[in-house]
Amino acid sequence: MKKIVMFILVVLYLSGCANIPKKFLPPIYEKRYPLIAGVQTSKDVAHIRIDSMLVDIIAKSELTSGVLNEPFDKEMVDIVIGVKDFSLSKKEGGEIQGRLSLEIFAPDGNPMKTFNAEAISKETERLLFDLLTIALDKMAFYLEEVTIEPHHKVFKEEKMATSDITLHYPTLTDFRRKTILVKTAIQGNVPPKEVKIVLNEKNQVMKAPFHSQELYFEHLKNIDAQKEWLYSGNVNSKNLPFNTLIEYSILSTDIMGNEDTLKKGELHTISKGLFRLKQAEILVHGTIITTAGGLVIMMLLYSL
Amino acid sequence: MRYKIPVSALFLLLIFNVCYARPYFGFGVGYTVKNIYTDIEGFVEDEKGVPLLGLGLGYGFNISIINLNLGTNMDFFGMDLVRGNREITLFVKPCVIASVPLRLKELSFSPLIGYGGIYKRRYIKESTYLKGENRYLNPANYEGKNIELLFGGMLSYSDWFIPSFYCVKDIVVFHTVNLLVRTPVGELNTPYLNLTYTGGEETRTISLGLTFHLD
Repeated sequence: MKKIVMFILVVLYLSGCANIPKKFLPPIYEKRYPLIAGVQTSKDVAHIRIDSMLVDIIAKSELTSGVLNEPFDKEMVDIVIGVKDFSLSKKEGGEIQGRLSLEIFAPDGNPMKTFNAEAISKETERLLFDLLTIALDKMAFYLEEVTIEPHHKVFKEEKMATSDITLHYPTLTDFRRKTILVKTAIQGNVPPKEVKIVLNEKNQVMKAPFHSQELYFEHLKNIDAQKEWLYSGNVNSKNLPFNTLIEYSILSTDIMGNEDTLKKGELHTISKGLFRLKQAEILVHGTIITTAGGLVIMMLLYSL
Repeated sequence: MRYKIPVSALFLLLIFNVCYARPYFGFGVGYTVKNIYTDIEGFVEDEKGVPLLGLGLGYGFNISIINLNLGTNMDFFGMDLVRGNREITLFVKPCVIASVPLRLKELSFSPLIGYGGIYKRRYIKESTYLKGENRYLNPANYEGKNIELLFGGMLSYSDWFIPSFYCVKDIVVFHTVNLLVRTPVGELNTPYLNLTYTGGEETRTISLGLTFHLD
């Protein structure tokens, strides 16, 4: 009896410290255009979900160098994208068929081209994503053929940003985690083309950065008359040294190449001994959790 | 009747302070070293050597410089799990504790004063125990309590090493030593390792658990 109990506890404990890998969205669209797009808010309330998905997908892709949602100044954008038509219909077998029609306008309001997409799927989320991907694919192809001169208002803007940097240590789901989580909220009128964090070891003779990583777009919000872009990233360098004072700078670049330093600061990484202690700490946590869980299960088994 | 006014006052105080409350929750495993009780026929028994499951719930808040902490710790004994009987013993240790921290750099010391203690309840499933040839026996359930004024002290080094201690007026009757520890430079909401020793004339338990302070 005791041997079985020990075996169960050992199995639970080992599986508790497993490393769960993360999933990443693959990047779509290879070419980058120096265009800034504006996405219209659909007049039909039912299409608002598509508008926000559209902003999200375009911002994460390389289709344009920046995207704005409404309200935006017509002088700030080169093309305006809007949802012309959208419908869903149920088919037999529990499948949903969707039709989507996106339209590009010139900023003065003249329609330029319409792109249609059709897809069938079992889930609505997946269906919307497929429809938008098909339509944007056609749009990318069109923009490649037809060269549109960028004529958005060009100016250098001082960005306002709030950033948050957290050092992350091992946990039960990631035993060897040693990362820096960076979140930046950038407020302004011009969408950033690239936001990155650069790390330097302090007191180094050479000023070369030992690590530089791009942050990824999360979402876009309206704040009064301006926009706020939220970018975040997990700096996961194998070279992240122990017990070192690191200088970091968060930089943003816009399409014109203007660079802004959003934040500069210092952080101190923990020593190797403390890192090992933290790993030991979570092993103890895992043991307590599995022992308590095992005890609860046995209490239930015996009370039935 | 005489409890109604202080209880309602405390209740109103709780409502006003709940927005700033720092709740905590913990669970753990432990061992009973001594558990003496008197059964209904007057025999003194000691049920020891049993594993226990601990649970803790509570929250703390501030009224100007005083820290008020309300909590309950429960120890469940899966009695005779391995041997097959169906009975459970429960120790409930509620407490309301007020403390005034005195700070010196990273170290903080506070004397504690409060009200609480230990409440013991032993329940055995009669249909299992009192059957067959045992059906003429008296039931073996037991209840006992010891709830009085509490006195103690707490030390806190930075936020990662916090030993504390409290006891009733007669220290031999009931006392608790508690240690909350975690690694320094921790992330927010990292749980503490919670080592507790409860002792007294009639009980002695030790437990190791995890406590999550959410604030």
